[in-house]
Amino acid sequence: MSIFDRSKLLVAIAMGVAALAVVRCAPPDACLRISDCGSGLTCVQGDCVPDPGAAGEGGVAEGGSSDATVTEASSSAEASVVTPADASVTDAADSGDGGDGGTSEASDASPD
Amino acid sequence: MMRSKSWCSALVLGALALVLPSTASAQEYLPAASAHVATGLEGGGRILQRSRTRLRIAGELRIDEAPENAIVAAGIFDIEPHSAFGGELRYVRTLSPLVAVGAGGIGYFVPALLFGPCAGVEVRIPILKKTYLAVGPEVAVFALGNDLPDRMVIWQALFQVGFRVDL
Repeated sequence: MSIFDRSKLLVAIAMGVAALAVVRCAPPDACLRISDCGSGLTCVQGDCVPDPGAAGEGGVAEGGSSDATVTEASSSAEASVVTPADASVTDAADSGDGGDGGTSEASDASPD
Repeated sequence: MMRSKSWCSALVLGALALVLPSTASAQEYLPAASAHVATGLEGGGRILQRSRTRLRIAGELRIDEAPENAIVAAGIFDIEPHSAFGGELRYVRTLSPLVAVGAGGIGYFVPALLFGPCAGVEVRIPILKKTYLAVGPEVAVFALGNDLPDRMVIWQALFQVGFRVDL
């Protein structure tokens, strides 16, 4: 097989892989990097979950910042995964407790 | 006696002429530039998905004494669905006028750090005198950096399409 034939084969294989990626693979909605998630969230097994470290430091406790976090996450495709944290923040807002309730529930929702 | 001395002198002069360098010619740099768009697959753990779409703008430098060897520095811009910025430095060896292979390191700096090795093959299809359509597969593995989730290594298998210009 000449080098040119080999090159054409390589190109064909690579184009096949690219076509497969576009047609068959899931769109990039699972997180692979921590920066794929919003602030206060971290990536675990492809899902954005509340960062235990941030929750422990009170990062999720502050009402304004947690609202922003949930909004940012909801705007991306990870909204369904963020639902537990979203619910806790909503509960905290509804109960009128401010951030304290949200903190404990957000901590409960974290995977650890 | 005199004749043997002159033979010796001729031999020594001949050997010196062979050993001593000829007139040195200045090295000439052979620069090139390229721009590629790439996408493909990426994964980590049990996740497999379409990768980010990436724009890569590169500068290449060779010297005329060894034109088959090149050092390439590139800026990497992820453009969708998330944006990121990084760079790449690699050694590229031209196997033929049509095919080049390369390997080196790639890193992202914004929004967080990711580092790892990368390698690729490039097929160059001439379209103008010094301009080539450059296509080929590329792989990268990100094993270091603060953007990695716990116990996960991210890999990418991309296919890139672009242009390369000899400057």
